[in-house]
Amino acid sequence: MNDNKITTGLKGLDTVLKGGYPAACPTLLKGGPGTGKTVFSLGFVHAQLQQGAPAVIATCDESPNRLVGYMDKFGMAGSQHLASGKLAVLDFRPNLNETVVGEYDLSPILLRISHAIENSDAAILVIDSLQNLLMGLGVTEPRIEILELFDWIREKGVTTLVTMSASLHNQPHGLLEEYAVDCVIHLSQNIDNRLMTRYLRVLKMRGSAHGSNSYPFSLNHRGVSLLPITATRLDDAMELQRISTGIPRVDSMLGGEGYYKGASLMISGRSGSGKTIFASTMLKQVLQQGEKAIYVSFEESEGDLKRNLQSVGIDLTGYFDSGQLLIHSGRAIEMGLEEHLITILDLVENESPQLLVLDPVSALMDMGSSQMVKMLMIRFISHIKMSATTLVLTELLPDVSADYSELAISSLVDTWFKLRQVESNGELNRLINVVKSRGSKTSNQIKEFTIDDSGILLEDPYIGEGEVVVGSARITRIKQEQEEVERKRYELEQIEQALSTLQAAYESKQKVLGAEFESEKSELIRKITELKRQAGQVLDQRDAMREARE
Amino acid sequence: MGRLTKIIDMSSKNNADTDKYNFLLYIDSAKPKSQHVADRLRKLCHLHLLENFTLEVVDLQDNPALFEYRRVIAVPTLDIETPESQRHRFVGDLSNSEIFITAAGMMQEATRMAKQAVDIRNKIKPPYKTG
Repeated sequence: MNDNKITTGLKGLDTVLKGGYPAACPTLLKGGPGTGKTVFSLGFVHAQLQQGAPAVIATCDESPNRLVGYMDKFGMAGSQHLASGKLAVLDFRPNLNETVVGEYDLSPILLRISHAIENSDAAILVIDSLQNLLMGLGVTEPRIEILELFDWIREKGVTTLVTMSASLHNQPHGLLEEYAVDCVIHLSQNIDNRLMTRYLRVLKMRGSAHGSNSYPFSLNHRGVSLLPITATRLDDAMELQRISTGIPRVDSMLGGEGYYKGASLMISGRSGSGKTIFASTMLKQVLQQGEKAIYVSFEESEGDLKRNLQSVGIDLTGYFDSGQLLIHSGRAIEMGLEEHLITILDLVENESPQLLVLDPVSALMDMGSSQMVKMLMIRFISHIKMSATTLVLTELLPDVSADYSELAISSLVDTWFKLRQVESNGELNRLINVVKSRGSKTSNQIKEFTIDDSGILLEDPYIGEGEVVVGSARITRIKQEQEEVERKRYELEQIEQALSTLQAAYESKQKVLGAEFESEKSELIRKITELKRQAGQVLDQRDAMREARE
Repeated sequence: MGRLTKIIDMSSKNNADTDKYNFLLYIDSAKPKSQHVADRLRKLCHLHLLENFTLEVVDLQDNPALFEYRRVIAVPTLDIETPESQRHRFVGDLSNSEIFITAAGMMQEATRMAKQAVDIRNKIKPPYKTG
């Protein structure tokens, strides 16, 4: 925050102006009808009142009551400030019944304003809008006397915002821009493809740098929303935390643990390839962790989306009812591209979700030339990255696209999945592969997945003969393989049986042989014993005979 | 503020006074174009118009709050309230007196015709008296 700048009440505009409106100087806000001049000035007054700085508004268009009513409507507590005396509204609406009968001085304007400023001790002045101030006198161009007012403003050091209508045609820069004011901001409306987008541009700013591009902004129920998505920097914080996709096998395709927190992911695929379900699975995973998420759908209404996801087992109703999940659905053609992106960025700023899904981002493609869309998407993705929100984009590939990404933003995303449907054997089979994933050991495999009533299921891969086999062909292959195994197992059993038979035969033969051996052995032993006995008898008889002879 | 309320009270009182024109002249005594406008106004009225008017002169330097209340952005400014409570505002130092005279003449004519209309209506339908 610069010392000689004063906050505009809009974060985006403060960035563009490098701090805010120049302090103690007049700033001119110029724009055609309906460009939001009044809303800008009310936002400024509100921001200053919030900081305790009293303000004076000189209104030349709206009645003071209506002006304060607008502030109340935009949540700027106009009535409260008015009652507390911090805010004074001077009624400078032109009196259209005036007849000019000679020369006149405009000193009452300065005196009334200075009187109000001195009374309330204000340092902030808003004049809305200058060209109507003298309309009652038949003067539409600011007169020299008005310059006295600006001189007085500088002398007193009152930070002033003057609005002025610019005609729809280009007109040469007038006295005010050339001389009287220190900062000129131009507001405009552009129509592209019959859709209106509002732009802001800083024409000049004395003694200070400022953003010089045309910045898109939108007016919504909270006032002005301006996000200088051209002012992106490449200094997003490093994030090392990994988050699961909710499908373990996809996590392992990304190196095991899922994607990095705050990464941007893109899921490309043709119609019916399962992009929404894939994105919703990731969404549910984040919601289950108790984190907030936003789902932006350009195709389905809130109810349709919930019902369709329920049929594949992704029930988000509970998260939606608890406010954890915000579903924002709207047709792409409802507003211009910039306004879409601002609306979404606004949602992200307010909700700071963990995950943001845009389904499909390609719906925004038709909103302008592809070059323009690409440039805006670069800014958008960069901006989301700064907010540490994980961005999931789905890209619908046209049927004629030959599966090439048409958005040409793939170099911007960190992780890119491609979903395909491959026709083979009279059926379509779903395939997924990771085209790239920064900072991860990415699987190079193409995997098959199916969608049933429990969501996405990745099949076991079957890779044979150098190619991926999918669908019923894969099932046939698996069956063939199973039969082969069965056959071998049968053979094995046979051989094992033969072996055991052989063993048994051997053993029985051995038994018979043993028995024979035993019987023969015992016969021989018996014979030996008999012979020994007989021999003994002979010897005994000889001895007896010897005894008898003696 | 006291002065402001005094003037407002006076003008509301004069509303009841159907014969008179109420002139309220706003000037800035610090500005040359405001210097002799009151005299010029009296002269013009004396020469061309009516005598039955009241004139109040308010100086911006004394009373900026009244200027705020009446939404005056230029000086001199002359507010005229006719007897029919019609309000007319003239801005400028009356140097372009023709426009003022014409406008004032038309104002007078309107007042006269309004009076005539009332008279005719009274003749056709006399005021109904009860009791």
